[in-house]
Amino acid sequence: MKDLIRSLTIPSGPSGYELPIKNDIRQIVTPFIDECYEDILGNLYAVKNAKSSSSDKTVMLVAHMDEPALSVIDMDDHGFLRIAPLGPLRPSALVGARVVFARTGRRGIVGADHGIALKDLEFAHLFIDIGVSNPTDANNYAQIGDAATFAYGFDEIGDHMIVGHALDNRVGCALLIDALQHAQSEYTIVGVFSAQQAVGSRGAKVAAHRIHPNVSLVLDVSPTGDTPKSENSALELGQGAGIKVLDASMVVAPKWRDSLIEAAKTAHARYQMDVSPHTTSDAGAIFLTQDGIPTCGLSIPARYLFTPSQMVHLDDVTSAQQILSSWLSRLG
Amino acid sequence: MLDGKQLLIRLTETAGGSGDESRVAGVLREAAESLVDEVTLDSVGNITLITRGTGDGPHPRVMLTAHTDEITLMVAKIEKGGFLRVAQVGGFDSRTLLGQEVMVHGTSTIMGIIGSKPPHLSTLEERKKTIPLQELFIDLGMSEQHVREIVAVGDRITMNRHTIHLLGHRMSGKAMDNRASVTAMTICLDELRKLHHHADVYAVGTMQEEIGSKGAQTAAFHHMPDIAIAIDVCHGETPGVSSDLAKKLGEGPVLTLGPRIHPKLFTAVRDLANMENIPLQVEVSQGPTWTDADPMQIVQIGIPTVLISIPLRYMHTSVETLDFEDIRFAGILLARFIATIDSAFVEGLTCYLKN
Repeated sequence: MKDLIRSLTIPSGPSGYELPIKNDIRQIVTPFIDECYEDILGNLYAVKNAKSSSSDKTVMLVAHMDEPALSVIDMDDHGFLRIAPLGPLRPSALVGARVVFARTGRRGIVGADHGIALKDLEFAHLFIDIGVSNPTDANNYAQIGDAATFAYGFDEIGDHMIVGHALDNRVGCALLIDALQHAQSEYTIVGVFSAQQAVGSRGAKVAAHRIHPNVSLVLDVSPTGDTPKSENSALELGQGAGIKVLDASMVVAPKWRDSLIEAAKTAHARYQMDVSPHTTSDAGAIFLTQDGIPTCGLSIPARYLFTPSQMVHLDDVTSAQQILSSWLSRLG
Repeated sequence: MLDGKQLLIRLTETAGGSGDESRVAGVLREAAESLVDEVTLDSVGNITLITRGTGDGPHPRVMLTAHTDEITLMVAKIEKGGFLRVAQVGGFDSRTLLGQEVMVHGTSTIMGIIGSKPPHLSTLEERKKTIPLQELFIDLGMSEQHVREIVAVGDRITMNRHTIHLLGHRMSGKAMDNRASVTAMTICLDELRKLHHHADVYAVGTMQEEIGSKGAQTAAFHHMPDIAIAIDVCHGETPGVSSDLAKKLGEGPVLTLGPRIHPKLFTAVRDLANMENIPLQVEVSQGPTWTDADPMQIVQIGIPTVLISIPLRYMHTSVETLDFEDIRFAGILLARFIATIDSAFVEGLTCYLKN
């Protein structure tokens, strides 16, 4: 699992241009699924048929594959690129960051106008330096409208912690891939690697409309409350996967929340209740589709979201894997 | 015979936060099941009471909504010593939370009180400020171990408040927003039994309104009515609030005019109230009404939508206060309006402004 997560954190996937990460995922999942297709928003669908052909029920598992990015909006006479955020990034977390352009693979560094205090920093003060000295050269590597994501990759800290710039949400993607490969269910499993979550869950919305499943489960990360002076959240790294109670977009029905608790107990997997009133996910968009789709969620607790160094505990990934597998086998 | 005040008391004293509306839906079902032809529950938490019209030809389809959820708190963290830190589910006025008695719905329901640092131990600066939600906590009077046996992160917290009668028809309690409208909807269903109506009526107790009108949107998609009527509360006259923002208690339900509202529906309801001598007040909105009306208007190909509100003081506190007469009149007005709806009227709604 660790190696899968490692390989998934490398390809770039800015919201709206998820091509690099999508191609990799498609290649990985193709051998063990029954059908694979894409749609006009760039969602990737991977279908695994139900164990028995008589079942007409469908579960949709959703993990967004996009990550917040920086969009080039202007270029100056020296080839410095001015930027605006695609998704919820903070200027203060960006100064000195290494980035990579999704389309061309060119690397760059985020710099800031001189003399601005960190607390006053806005996106207008930031630029990307791609190591050129004029606009003509710059245009070979990045054009206006191109998007860059963090370029840090994957690290391990001690025996249990993993760190990466895109653990949000390649951990979810890895769990979804694992479920498609190993899970047994009486339901047809439609795995959706969704596009554009970071800019308003736009991919999940059309995916939910297309699939209209009997139930949907969202795999995503949730911020922990276990770092100094953090918010009032009970989520801790290493205490088990989070079972979503609510987030900013919806409240999970007690019936489906409890089905995940039962699945966790059956699998003897550790879990925590995830109350994240300020966190957005694809769940709300799916829930509201058409006449409503019962939606629940499994969350991987994560520290330092929206920075280049997001941290996740491997035991929590294992718990999530066990709970998901147990939940899918109990559907029916 | 439907006892509206008793129903309102039962509804308001029942706990049912957003996403956890089943107990309230249960009370509604018990009260209204005998008044209608059919009751359905959908997969996401809405309850629909269906009463069919009479007469030949296709029946116009009218949907009423009254959201069943109330604002609650939720256990976000259990701290050392067994104190609970909380998150909002919907928007309590956090200035009013300190000193409240609450019920924590764990494996059993237990009482608690909301505390914070006493004034004696606060600095002058701290005393001038409202205590923010993240600094409030709930004290259950138990050891941490005992708390952890009963309470878990994610459990609901509701206000412990009995609904009381004030003078006249005034009543006060928690969750009047929006059990007042659930009551008005039930009164409407009761009234409809006395009337001939052509329209089929889908009265929906909608879920998760307080966190963004979720149930109304999915229910409207499902039923796809010809006309949607949202019932909710609006601000009641209060010292310090200007009269365009707050309506009088006891002077009738409030009809909204604005971009979310179909102008012909507005006119039809207003004219009917005039003709039938039912007191009615008018409120003007420049955009969002922050009710079920907003999402319903733009479901699928669009739905002609209108909004009836019950004036209510001290919204989003545990002492929401209203006049029961406004609820009763809302129910009667809705029933009489529904009785006037025929196919020609529905067809006329597709021509937005022409007469």
